Amino acid sequence: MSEDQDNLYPLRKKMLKLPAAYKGAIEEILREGMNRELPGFFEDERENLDIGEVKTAWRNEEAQRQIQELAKTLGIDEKVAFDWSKKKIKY
Amino acid sequence: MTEAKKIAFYLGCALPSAQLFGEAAGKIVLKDLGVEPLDIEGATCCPDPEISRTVAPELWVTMAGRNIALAEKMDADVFTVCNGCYDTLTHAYHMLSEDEQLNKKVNENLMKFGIQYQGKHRVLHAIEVLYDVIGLERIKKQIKRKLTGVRVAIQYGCRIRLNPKKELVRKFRELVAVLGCEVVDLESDRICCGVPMMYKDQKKALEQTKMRLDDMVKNKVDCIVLFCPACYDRLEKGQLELNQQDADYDIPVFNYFELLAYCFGHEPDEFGAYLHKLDYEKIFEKAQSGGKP
Repeated sequence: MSEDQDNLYPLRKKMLKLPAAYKGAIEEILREGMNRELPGFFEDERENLDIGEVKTAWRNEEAQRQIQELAKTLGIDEKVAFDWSKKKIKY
Repeated sequence: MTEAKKIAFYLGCALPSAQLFGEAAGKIVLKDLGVEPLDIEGATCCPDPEISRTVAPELWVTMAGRNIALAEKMDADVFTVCNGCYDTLTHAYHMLSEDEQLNKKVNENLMKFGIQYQGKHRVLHAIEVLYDVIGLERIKKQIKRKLTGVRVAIQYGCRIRLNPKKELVRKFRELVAVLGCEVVDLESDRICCGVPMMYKDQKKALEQTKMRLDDMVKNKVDCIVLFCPACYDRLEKGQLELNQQDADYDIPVFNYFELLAYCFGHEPDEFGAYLHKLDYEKIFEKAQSGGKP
């Protein structure tokens, strides 16, 4: 699963299988472009602290679309067996 | 270094989703110091140097380049508090500066969205923004109250401690000392908080966190200060997890920006300190009593 690993990190040991502990973070990145969810509580709390609304990919559909397109262009979705309809890694 | 009037604040994933006090305090103190922190519209995960760089290096470097490019669009240097984000963004910055072919490929993919990575602006850690861009003297002038008598351990984080820019550790220590607290240097300062090991073995990761915490208890540390949100997560959650197993840890963990905001005269509620899960108030009470417990 590691053609691009060979290109950028030729001395790195090849990863043959996606470790279970990595799945959640990869799924979040392919879903929302971030590696964890944004709880509603913290979004509301921003108003109390007067720090403005979240401007990162969590609330920016165009940013999410761009990351998903990049993942498809670079073949990452196939590499990790990401099911776009369920937004989850298959295996 | 030239004075920055505005700087892009790369928040990463952890501050907005779990550690708002770090973001809020950061924005407060930067404004106090005459620097305008800018949110980066459409920024994504850096992405993280553990998982993404291992699994999907090309996506990793492209996303990192995109994040830097979004800051460049605002004609600003970009900074982060997260040691992992700093590692990713600086590593990608160097790769894209040194590898022309990679730079071309990344830009081909980004140009489809009207984004161009140029690499003309700097990627900085919050330590560098405070120490180099703003300077200790300007910080000292803003300090209205000190953390007198509070014994503080510094969690530098591996990616700062092992960074080729060796001066980051010294600069962070000086930044903490400016707060008027007692900096407690520990043998365990070199121990990792345990985050990377969590992906492999959670039990061992917790043992590592415990080793670090025990050294702090032994040396009567009142609180921990850091920048890295991953270290924060581990050191706070680690205490809560260990307390469920019959331990009794209660060492509050602060983002450096919070302690700085307090010393600048802001009340903890202003920057959301009430979101901490451990007793943080005792630290400010101790400081107000001049170090008496």
